[in-house]
Amino acid sequence: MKQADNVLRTVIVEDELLSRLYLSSLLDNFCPEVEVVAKAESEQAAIEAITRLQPDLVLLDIELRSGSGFEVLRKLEHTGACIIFITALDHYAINAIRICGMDYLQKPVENESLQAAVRSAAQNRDNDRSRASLACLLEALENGGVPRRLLLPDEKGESVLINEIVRIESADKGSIFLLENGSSRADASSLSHWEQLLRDLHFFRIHPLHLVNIAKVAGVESDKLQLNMCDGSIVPASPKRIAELARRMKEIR
Amino acid sequence: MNQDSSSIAALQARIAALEKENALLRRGNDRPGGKAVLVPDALKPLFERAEQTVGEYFRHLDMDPARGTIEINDERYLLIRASALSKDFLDTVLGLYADRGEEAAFAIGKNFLFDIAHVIGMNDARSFHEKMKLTDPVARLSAGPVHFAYTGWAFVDIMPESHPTPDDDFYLLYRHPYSFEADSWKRSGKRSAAPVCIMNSGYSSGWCEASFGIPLTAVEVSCTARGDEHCTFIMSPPHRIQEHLEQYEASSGYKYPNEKDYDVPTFFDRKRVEEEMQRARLLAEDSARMKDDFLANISHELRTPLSAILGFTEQLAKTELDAAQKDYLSAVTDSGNTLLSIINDILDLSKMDAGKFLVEEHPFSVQSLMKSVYLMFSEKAAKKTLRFELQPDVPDMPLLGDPARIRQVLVNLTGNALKFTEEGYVRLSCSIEREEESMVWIRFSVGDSGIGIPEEKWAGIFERFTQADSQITRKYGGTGLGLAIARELAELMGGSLKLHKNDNTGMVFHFSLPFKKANVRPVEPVAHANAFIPKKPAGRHVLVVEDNPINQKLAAIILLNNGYEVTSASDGSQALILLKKQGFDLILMDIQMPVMDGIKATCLIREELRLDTPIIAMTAHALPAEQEQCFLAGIDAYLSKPFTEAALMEQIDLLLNKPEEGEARGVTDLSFLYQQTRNNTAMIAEMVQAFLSQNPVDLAALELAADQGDFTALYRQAHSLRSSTSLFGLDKKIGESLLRIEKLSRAKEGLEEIRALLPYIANICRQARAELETSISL
Repeated sequence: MKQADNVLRTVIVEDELLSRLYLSSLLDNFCPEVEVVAKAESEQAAIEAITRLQPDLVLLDIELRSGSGFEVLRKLEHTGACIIFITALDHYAINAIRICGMDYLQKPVENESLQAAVRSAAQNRDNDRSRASLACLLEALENGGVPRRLLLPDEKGESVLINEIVRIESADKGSIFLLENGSSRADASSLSHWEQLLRDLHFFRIHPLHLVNIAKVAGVESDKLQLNMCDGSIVPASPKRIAELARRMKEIR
Repeated sequence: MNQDSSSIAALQARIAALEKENALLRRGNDRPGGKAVLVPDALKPLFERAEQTVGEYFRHLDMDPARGTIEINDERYLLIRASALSKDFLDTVLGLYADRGEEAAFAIGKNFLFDIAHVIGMNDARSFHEKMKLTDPVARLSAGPVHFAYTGWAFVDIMPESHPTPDDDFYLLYRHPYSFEADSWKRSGKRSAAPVCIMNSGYSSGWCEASFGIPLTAVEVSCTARGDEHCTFIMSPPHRIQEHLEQYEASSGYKYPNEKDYDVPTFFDRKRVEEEMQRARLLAEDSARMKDDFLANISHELRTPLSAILGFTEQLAKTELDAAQKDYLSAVTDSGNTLLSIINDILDLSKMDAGKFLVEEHPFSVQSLMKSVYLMFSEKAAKKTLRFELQPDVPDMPLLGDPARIRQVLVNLTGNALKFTEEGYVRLSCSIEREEESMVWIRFSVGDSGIGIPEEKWAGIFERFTQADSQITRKYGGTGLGLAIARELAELMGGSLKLHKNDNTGMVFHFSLPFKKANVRPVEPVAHANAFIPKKPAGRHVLVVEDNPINQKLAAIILLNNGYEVTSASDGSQALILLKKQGFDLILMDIQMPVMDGIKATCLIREELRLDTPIIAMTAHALPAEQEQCFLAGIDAYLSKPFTEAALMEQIDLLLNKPEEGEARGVTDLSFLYQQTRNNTAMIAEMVQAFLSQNPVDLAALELAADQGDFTALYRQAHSLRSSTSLFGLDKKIGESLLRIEKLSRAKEGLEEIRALLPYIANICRQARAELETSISL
């Protein structure tokens, strides 16, 4: 028996018929907490359904390169609905989606992952964090898909401006973000995780324990194997990587 | 020359800087009174003597900065900046072992430094003692701190609590008012988290150990590099250090860093042991691998001729024979089959050892499984005066598991039970042990009233090549591999094979396995062996391609005996020559052949000759990767060597009489949907219906977009089609092509290439729809 306040009223936005059918029957059969209230096959239909139904959860397979996909997100910004993206790995904004800490499922969607994502959505409905994630992503999309902020997975909803990050250091359990204003943030994800996400945003793993924002490198002391950062901190450098860094810096400038 | 003078200038500047630094150091660390070592009054006379000894030792001191050496009493030493060594070394190790976390990395570096310094300390002490002819342990020891200060390691203050006796009670509490190690950290401006005077601790304890001849270790309990007031150390025998640290902690409030026991650092010993273990492990792995390879190869080599022997015996049995000849022949068959099963056992074990043994999962019925094992042995059991009972105490529900492997275990256990039981009973039973919504645990057991196994032998019987009694081998035969395999199989499937004593005599072997419940009925296995009725071949012509003349002949005889016409070729290129001249109804193709192998030949038959003659591959290595290679090349069916006549005939029949049902020809794969929907057939049927009606529409839209050169629509349609077809496993066939179209149309180029890809995609989709249509009409 479903209890009204536990029901996740859900809208599926997916233009391809088979995937829509597949997703909705998985939800019907395996996610008892979900009630599919609408299936939208276009962005326009999605906007209409979201406005009318104010769903708790939206499963989205939309083209974020086009303006209409963007409008769907804008609409969602004011509803507080949880969003789960359904994407292919080669999706244009996949990196932005990850950096902004949004939930996503890879196609073809697997039952287990769908159930897990729905469970986590049920717990996080309408919270600051999901709002902040969406704001992050919208900002990234306005900026040609390049995120300006990131959301640390453990944080409530405070985003970090990427160009304020001086460097990220590996810590016992995760990573520590050191910001330009001297403050720091701890995060449970590994340094490698961030390296992967931030590589395209000109972050560089100069040492097994250090990921630096290339824009924040004030000086390279090759003989001492260290970098002087703009905040005055000194970061050790691995000999091989220091040469690679020089190449990267040349590329950027 | 210009370059030289500038580099000389740079060097001079560097020397000046170093001199300035040294002057600074000297000023900061000269202590008033000039005494390098401060000791409690009681020890003063001793240390005054020690100062004289050391002073004497250092009287002949020559420095040669050009060579970076120092000479003391004709011994030459190399100058190193120890401060740089200690700190830089730790930094390097921290970097090298970063993946283990800072604490672990620090511990590694610390142990290493300590051990090196400990050995240096011991060596320095020994050569000093020898040169100065010191024999008294106390005199030897007291020279240590003085020598220490003279050589610039540190100044030493010995605390009155100290008790330096050459026995278990040895206890030294001392401070370094100046320590090069702590100093190097302080000068770097970095505060350390842990005490850093590691070489100091190692060197001092090494010196004292060499002096007294008892093992000693030292732990720094407070350190100025960490912000403490002093660098304080405790030295004692390693097995007492913990106790002293605890006492010190209680009296001073100092919390020593290691909660765990502080061990004597034994880097060199540990390294030696580790290296030896590593060497031993590599050797063992090597020899295990060699053994596995050898077993796999030799078993394979044995199986090939043996299968020929069995195959010809089978044919021979069909000829006219008298009673005696029939007897002899059946003895040959029995022995051959026994030998084959032993070889298969060895192959199984070597695969298990190599971790290549895979347990599969498909729907099956426990009841039919039990029944088939029972039927297999009922004839044999009827020859004995015993009751052979079957108690399948489970409802007839479909489960997911590997019936072939369970069967293998049950066959082994039942075979043993029948072998060792003369009268009474053998009972094959199973029951539900536990049940949850989606899982069920079933207990299988095989009990008997036979000769039993003495309890002291229980542990050994699961070992390889072991039987409860070596007498048994002579009387009953067997390799002693069966139980070992049965046990490992049970473990691979998530259970364990156990043994119990029966009430009076005999044994019960049992094992419990977990199963997922299946929602679909298992496909009943195609009738085998005896039930197989071949259709009339009506003069059909088969080409046998096989390099081994005996196997070639055997295949030919089997086919001839079954009414086929046969032509043989001994490699791929011969087969191609024959195929260019005449048509065949079917090709039997060996995979491993000289000159041109079966895969190459198949590719050429399909691509160059453009023939779609059904091809059955024969190969001994039934690895999944190889099977896939076969199907990619265009092979229709697959026969694992050695094969029986029945198996060959069945394959031929399948291909020649109802080719459209050959699973291998299918393009669709519903396993993803079955898995994700937990075998929800209604849901799958709905998906299939939707696909059947939607797919032609999608394809038409894709083709239209290509006709109109509309890249935006092309991208969208290709992308949609890729998601919908991937649900039915078609991505393996057309995923790449669709992705290519997406890429090209995103770049707005390559319209010709896109158009060229469409017929193939349409073709596969058409085939998929045909398959899906039959699948739902069934």
